[in-house]
Amino acid sequence: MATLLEPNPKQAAAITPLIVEIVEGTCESAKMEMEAAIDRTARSLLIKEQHDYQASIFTPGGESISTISFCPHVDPILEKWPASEVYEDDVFIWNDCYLSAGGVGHLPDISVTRPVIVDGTLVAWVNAFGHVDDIGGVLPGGMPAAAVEVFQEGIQIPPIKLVDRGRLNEGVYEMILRNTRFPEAIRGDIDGLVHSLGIGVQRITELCRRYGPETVVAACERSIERCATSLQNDVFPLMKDGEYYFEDFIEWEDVTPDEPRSFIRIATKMIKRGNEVIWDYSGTDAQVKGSLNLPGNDRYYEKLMGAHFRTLRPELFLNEGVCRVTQAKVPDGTVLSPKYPAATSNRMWALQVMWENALAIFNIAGAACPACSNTNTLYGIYGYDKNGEYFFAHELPGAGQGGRPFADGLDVANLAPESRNSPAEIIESKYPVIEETCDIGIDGGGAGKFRGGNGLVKEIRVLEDGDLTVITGRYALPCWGAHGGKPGRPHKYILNPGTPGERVYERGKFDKEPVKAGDLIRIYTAGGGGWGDPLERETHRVLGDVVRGLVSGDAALSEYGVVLEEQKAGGLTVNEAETAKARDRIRNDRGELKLIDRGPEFYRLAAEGRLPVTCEDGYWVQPDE
Amino acid sequence: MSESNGTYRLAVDIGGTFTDLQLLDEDKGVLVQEKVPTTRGHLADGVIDGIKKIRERAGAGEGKIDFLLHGTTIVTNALLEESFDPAGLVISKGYRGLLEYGRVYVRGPFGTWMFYQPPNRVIPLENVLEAPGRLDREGTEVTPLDTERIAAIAETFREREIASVAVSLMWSFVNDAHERAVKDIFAKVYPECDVALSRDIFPEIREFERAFTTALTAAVRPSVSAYFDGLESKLEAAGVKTRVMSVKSSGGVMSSAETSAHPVEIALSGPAAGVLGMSFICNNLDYDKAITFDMGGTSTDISYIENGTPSLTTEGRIGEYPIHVPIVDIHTIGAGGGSIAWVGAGGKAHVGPRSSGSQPGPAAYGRGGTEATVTDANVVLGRLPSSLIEGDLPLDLDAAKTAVTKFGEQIGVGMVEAALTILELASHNMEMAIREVSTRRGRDPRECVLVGFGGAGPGHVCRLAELLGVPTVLLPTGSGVGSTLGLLVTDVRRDVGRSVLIGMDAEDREARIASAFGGLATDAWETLDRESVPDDRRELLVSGGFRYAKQQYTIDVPISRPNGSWDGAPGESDLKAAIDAFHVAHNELCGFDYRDQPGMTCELVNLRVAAIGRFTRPELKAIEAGGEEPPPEAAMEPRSVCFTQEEGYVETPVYDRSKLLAGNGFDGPAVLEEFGATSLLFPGQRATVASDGTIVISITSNTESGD
Repeated sequence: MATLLEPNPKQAAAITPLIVEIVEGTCESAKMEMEAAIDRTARSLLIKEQHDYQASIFTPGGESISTISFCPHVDPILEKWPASEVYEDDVFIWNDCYLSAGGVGHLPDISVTRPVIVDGTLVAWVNAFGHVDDIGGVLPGGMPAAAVEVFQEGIQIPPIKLVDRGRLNEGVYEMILRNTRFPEAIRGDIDGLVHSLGIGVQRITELCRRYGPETVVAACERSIERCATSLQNDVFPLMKDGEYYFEDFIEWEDVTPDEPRSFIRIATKMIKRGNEVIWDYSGTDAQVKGSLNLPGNDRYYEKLMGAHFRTLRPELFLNEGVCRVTQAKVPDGTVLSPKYPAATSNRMWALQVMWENALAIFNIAGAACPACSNTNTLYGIYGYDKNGEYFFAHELPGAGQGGRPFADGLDVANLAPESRNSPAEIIESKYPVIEETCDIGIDGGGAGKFRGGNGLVKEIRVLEDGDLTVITGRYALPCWGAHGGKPGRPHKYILNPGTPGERVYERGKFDKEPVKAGDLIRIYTAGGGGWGDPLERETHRVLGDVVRGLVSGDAALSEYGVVLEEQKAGGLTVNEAETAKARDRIRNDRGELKLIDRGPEFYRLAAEGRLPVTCEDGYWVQPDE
Repeated sequence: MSESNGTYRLAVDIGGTFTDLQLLDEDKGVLVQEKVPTTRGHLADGVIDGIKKIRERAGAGEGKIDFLLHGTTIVTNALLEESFDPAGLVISKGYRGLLEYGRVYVRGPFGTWMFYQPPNRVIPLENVLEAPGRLDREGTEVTPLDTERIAAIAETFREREIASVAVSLMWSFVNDAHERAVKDIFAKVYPECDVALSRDIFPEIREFERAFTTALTAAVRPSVSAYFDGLESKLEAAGVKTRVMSVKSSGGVMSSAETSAHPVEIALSGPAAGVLGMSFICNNLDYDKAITFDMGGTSTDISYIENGTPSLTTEGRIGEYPIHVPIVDIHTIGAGGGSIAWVGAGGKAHVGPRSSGSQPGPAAYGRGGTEATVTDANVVLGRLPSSLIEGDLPLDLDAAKTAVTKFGEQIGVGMVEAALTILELASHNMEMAIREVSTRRGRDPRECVLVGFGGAGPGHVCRLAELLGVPTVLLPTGSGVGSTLGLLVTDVRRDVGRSVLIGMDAEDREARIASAFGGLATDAWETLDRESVPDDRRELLVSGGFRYAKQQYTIDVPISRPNGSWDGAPGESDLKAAIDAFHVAHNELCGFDYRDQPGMTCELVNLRVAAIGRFTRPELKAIEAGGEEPPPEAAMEPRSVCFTQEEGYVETPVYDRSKLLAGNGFDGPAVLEEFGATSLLFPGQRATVASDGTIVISITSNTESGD
């Protein structure tokens, strides 16, 4: 059993600058060491390739010390067990979305937690989670779009002790592994996560032995406070005081037929005044009868949005301090505050739109920021192979990123930190498919002074009968352009293109569409939004893109007003005189450039009343006088 | 290699300013050193000048130099400067953009992509052309190769005056028929073009890694070949008959011909030689696990030595590029003597990675630098002498004090505390980096000795050892640390490998491994033939990259094989032992293993064979032996040095390192002066001088371990 050590403000004031740096640096280094250990042993694709895992370190009271990005909590442990019932070698395991205050958003994220107890005193918590390949439920991968209750999404593990005072409860493992389609892989993942906790515990313990637990806890408090002041001093002044509203929609057409809703609104209002930022989500749609819901709480959203400030200042050290100077407000019963037992497994689309909305708001509030970037499209092909073995070939393949105030968006990248794609040869070695094409798509990125990145074009030949599942956002509504830049092209999935049986999938979220041996699935992943007026793009950049096959000659003319001609000696060159004329023509004919351009499809759906926008263009700006 | 009379091996290290040479008399084991200015633009001239001088010094006359061993930065520089030879790539249809998107990977924490700019491509997209034709995972043809299209591609490259082309096709490491066909067509249509096939360069699974390595080969080969041709013809013209050998990034040397064929393997040639020299010194003193700590002006290089050899990685990077062939595992941290102390967002104190460089340099250099650096903190605390480089660079104490005081004001502390904060923060950064790399590689720093060198290494290594809980520090002699020593203590080596993907539950595993081994062993043996290595000096070492099913990373373990014939494949008992070693290694690295657990099978992903031709090792000369105390002439003027805030400045003995004798011992605090470096012993530490002149320091850790 442990006693709780609370931060002591007096002690905090006596800490030297050096000790704060060393404690902060050691916690961050411990986090990275833990993550290296998870990475090293992982078996689930989303952990080992997509880097969907994180280690974190918390104060005894559950405040984040290490940098936040996916933002887990340890609050549920604190609520359930008083310090007097927490022991040195305890390991907690949990994935219960409704008993985790937002720390676990969907069931595949297995979370494990250990206390750090030094000489009987609880000085910190270490936590690690990883997105495992399967946790049961109606669909392999544990992310069925059409699930209407969390019970259909897999096994729920409330916070329990996997290891109690050093004694492993094998029964917990048996129970979990009996409920997954890939027990060996999941066992390997959980063992890796648990082992990583030991590294964190050891490092924090060494730190306490060197400086004393009181000093370490007090230095953590100083680190948190410093994060808060750095936001106030170095980030908030980048935006004008005022109120900013931006709404966007998760595409949800026909996913849950018994609740016919097509577009789910995420409404974000940022109120920025002086030293405080408020994120107000009033106006966000009610929870859905489907797996889109994101079960967070206010503090969780403060951290989630807070992590996004790094967009404005990349060197920021962001931890719990964001919660001291920002405030999130989410009304009850929305898609961001669902009631048990609403399904949550596809809550990543809500997360994604929240992030994109924040990016849009930074843009309209005057901060230098990229256009809309979207990398998330997820597909899976599943069935039984020749040997009667179950297979599930799935990946997040990467897409185009938004143009930036200083450079083009990246072609085919993934914004999840350190994440990688799955090599075609690895996919082919494991699953009955051949990846006939895996290339950069032409013209996918939105035009702009700095164009959006192009998406991927991928063609998969299926060698066995099976089923296809696709879960993607930005299938109808493209990535928006900023400051005059054009939107990118949305994701697109086509079956057997160019044949009589060609079928363009009408929507971007389905659990099961049959595919036959010999079928070809072609995927275009989305392009990022462009940044700035395309007519201001330097002509040699347009020429370079055409020569490299990234932009077509037609688009060079129609989007950029660049006239290219063949040289006698071969090769293309820019006709500058004709280009100037073409650009003048386009400039005269087009309307006013938009600060945020959401694309014709958005405006058409809004005009037809199918997209329930609450204001023109879906955003407004109200700076303080 | 053979021990003939009056023969020599010569090591040459061409640095930016000086060219270092070291000559080994093969018969006597005697080493002679020489240093001449580097002749930029005509590197061979400096080398020839050096050879003349070192022959005189060694009294070697016109004795035959069997081998000229050297490290070259030519590929390293191409990678760092992102500048390559014109080259083309022929890739499977549908994969034109492969080099562009790579693994869809952006290095760094959340949000990095907003600011990330990818490096220049080794082959630009317009020079990547697609070959219709496709194999499946078994190597079976799905679509035949379009030979007419390949001929047209060859013509296109000729028109574009591209004479170096890489070919990387899907599944070529299983079946190389299509790649060989491409090469044959080029030989007919465009015979002047140099063609690199992925099946020869890097026959491993994962199409990007294989294509990138092959593309890089094509994009540096013309320069590398021209460099060696030029060097050899100049040497010949100057009457020096020798075989030029180049040190590889993985240790080991190979001939200029082999180097030109596989130039990616010399990407980290220079630093690798330095680490080889260190491992030789550690071996001589019987330390089998070491961390080397090479701290210079702007950065610090960390590497590991295990079982007396540098540890290797296949996940290396040089500049912004991934390197997939094995290279010495060197981890670089942006912390050196010139690292600047600064205050960032929220009042957070940082040291580095920004550096004052050599211009303006630290404030103490008096060249206009005003920001406090690590060197300035050392000057303020009395840890450096009043001038560097034998008086050529006087240090400005007042300028250092002003800079450090200014930094102190920003964080609200006085000058001395500010200086200590800078040094402790720099040490902390290095401690964290070493711990992270150690964990990643599954090593415990407390089981290692720490070897300090480089300009700033000896001054910081003893404090770092305390923080890491390392019990012993080694400070090799200046002459020992040059990479030329490393060149003389290595072997002829060529590594060949192939992805095999054999489940260890497969019934035919032994036969499949034997078949893969047969091909690799033949390749390896033929390399040794080409290098004219006598049979009794040859060795083939086998290793395998194993993992549990579905894991991403593999762990390399040695695979034994029966004694007797050179091409005897590993048998069932060898495999059992290797699998056993894998379980043990997994446990050491990851903290658990799945030995004897049903369903938890492991698989062999890559099979590797190292072909080795053993060179004779030189004998390190012992220095003069002395008594327990340093001789009186070693004592220099003591000075006032600050080690801790509490103790303040204390009178500290200073020794002239060149006058210390083997067997001498003394306690810290103490300062050791030598040309180019100052070593610092902290209170409570004890130094003894080893027979080869290395200072061995025992550290009493002031950090308690966690368990």
